Amino acid sequence: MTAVEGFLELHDLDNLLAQVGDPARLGRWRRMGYSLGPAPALVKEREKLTDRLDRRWLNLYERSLGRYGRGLSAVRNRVCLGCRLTLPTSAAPPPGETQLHLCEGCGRLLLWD
Amino acid sequence: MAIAEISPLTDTSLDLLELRHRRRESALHQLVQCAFEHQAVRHPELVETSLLRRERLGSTALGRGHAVTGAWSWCVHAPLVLVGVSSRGLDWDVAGGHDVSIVALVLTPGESTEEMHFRRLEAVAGALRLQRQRQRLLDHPDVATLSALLREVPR
Repeated sequence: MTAVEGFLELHDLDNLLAQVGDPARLGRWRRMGYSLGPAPALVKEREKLTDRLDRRWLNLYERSLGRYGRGLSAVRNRVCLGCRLTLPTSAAPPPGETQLHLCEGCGRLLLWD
Repeated sequence: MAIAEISPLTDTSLDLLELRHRRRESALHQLVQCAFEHQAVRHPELVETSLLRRERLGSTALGRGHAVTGAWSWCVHAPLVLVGVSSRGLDWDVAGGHDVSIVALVLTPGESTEEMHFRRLEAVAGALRLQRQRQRLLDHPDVATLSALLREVPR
């Protein structure tokens, strides 16, 4: 698993955990007819996953997660979809390269298309 | 005078498929692979993992005979609703032990808001809530029937 895939997985897992951690979201699921319970197993899976990720990137991810609710953002046409900042051409990774990058505007980890 | 026959445009954000297996995990795998073929998702294995984790939070089966699941993720490129129909029934962890015959997978790109994903899920769940609507789809499993049924789903 690459670092990008690891953070994508972590982001999706955090989204799921947010569904059961927030009473407003939980209420909405219940109104639709779903019954969601606590997820101690998913919390453990998150711990296992974060152990495999680079500590430096993880700290940056968690800082953005705490600030914005999402620690990862995609880039389309050089625009960060989190903060709408147009990124400099030099910020783009070489074609075919999948490396983690940081948005200069909002500090979210970037997923280049 | 020229006469042109105009046929309706195909809605590419919807599709229908026949589910081949009985297990929930296999059905989710088939749905995600179909979404990958539609070029609606990247990293299909991550989407599948996320859907399986969602099942562990609580079954996505709603009432008798149908389930609505979904993902709001950066792994999703384009909004897509896939509906799988199983003539044999699926073992979906439903209270009472009923089999599930219709499964909807609602995929919403990460760039959309979470509110949009909820609205799409609510629209699909609402459209499939009535038994007569589900029966209509089982009797006529085609994209035209599906489009008519899910016309209220926000794109």
